[in-house]
Amino acid sequence: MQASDIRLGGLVGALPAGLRPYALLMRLDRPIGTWLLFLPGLWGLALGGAPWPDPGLVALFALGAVVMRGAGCIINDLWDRDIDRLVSRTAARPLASGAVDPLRALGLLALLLAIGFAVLIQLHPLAVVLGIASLIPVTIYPAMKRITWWPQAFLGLTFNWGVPMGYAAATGTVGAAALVLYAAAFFWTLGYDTIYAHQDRDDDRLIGVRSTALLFGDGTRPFLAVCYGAAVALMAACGVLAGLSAWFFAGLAAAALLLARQVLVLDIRNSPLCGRLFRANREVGIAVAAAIIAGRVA
Amino acid sequence: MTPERAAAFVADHTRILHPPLVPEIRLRLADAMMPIWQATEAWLEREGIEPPYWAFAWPGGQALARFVLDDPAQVAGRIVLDLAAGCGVAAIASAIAGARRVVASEIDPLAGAAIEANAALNRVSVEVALGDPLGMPPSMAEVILAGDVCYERAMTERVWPWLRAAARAGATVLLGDPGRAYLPREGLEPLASLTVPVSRDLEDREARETTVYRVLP
Repeated sequence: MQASDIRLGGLVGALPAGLRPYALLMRLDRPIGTWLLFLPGLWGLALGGAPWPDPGLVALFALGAVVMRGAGCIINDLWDRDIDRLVSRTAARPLASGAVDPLRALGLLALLLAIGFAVLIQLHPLAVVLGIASLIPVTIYPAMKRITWWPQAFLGLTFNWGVPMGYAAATGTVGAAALVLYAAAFFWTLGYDTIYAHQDRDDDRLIGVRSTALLFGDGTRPFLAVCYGAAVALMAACGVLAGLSAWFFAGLAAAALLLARQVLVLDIRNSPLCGRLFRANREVGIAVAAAIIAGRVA
Repeated sequence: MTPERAAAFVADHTRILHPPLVPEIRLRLADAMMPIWQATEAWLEREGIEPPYWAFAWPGGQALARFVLDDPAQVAGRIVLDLAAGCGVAAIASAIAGARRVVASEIDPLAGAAIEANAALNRVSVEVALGDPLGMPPSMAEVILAGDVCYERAMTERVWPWLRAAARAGATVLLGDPGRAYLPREGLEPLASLTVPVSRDLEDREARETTVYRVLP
């Protein structure tokens, strides 16, 4: 049987003991989900930068990603708390173990949503509208999972909402370049989600959504290559549309190499490797953000 | 018993077969009853393990598996608990049908090893929960599958009230049963009837009429 999936190290281990269960409830011990929610927003902000992305907006999007991802995890854990107690790997989670009672979890959820709302209303009105509209796919996502064989596509649409939102927050509009970048992010998510499905089960739960759908098996590598190829091609198209400098394309080439490495070394039977490759998408996202910033600034 | 030894035992005493009602699923099963029964009997004395129910795809579990594969909306996007999962056929079918989370509950560590091997064979994720789940709140899962749990009076007497309570708590509770001796006479709504080819070795006949029931609140 597997050991508990909780990691008491780093930031969470440094907290006072009384706060640790709440940090674990927000999955602060597994920041990759927050990164993958934040990075598309950073891309949107960078694309709309004049020329630098506004540091205040970047901070707001980072805070928004932390609180909204934490809120998603709490909803998920509230829903799963009884079944979590049954499975040894999940029995030590704060709600399953009783370290946090459901009422306190709801209190933290309310606090996080209030912070999320406070962050949202600092933004340009168009971004506020988009932020509120993001609740539509988030709400119907569970229903979509029940009727479609392609929940991953919906995940891609939902998770990258930050691209048009970030661009709208920076510029007050949503241009063609931002929509093409959104499409690129969609294919990126479609790709990393297939790697995610092969790692240890929900080792890095994103925002409380994932699928146990039939995996691609030996077709995973070609599928991944197509997804990442489409993502890079659309990012390049975005660069052309937005008139980014040659520095963007140099940076994009670096990101493309990181993605190609994932395709080449992927071994779906090696779940620790799949976990590392999945988490390596943080570096990919940072590289793309850096490329966009370089393409704007220089 | 270490997980490695349990996995090795399962691998040594089974081969990969396709259960007749759900040929799209591959399972590590024993194709004849006697050798595995004798093998586990020797283990039984040394390590206190259960008879190898996990080495056969019983008709109730196969019927449930067929049922959820043919109507994925029963489980898609939901938390599924497969009670006394055995080889895990119904749990694996639920994962294929798109369940959000599938937990297979078993008291036998060898069954746990078999379920993990079988889930890997079919490239799906199934979480194994070893131990008795009947002390837990029956509301824990949105769908509860129980295949062939009415063959023994003591077990049925424990499982049945819990299944009813789960149905009252709002869960969809599906029972697959080929007419076992202790099947309750009421509180069941038949949903589908399936003919499951079985081995004469185990069931004294060539096929068993198996019904998938919904357990009423």
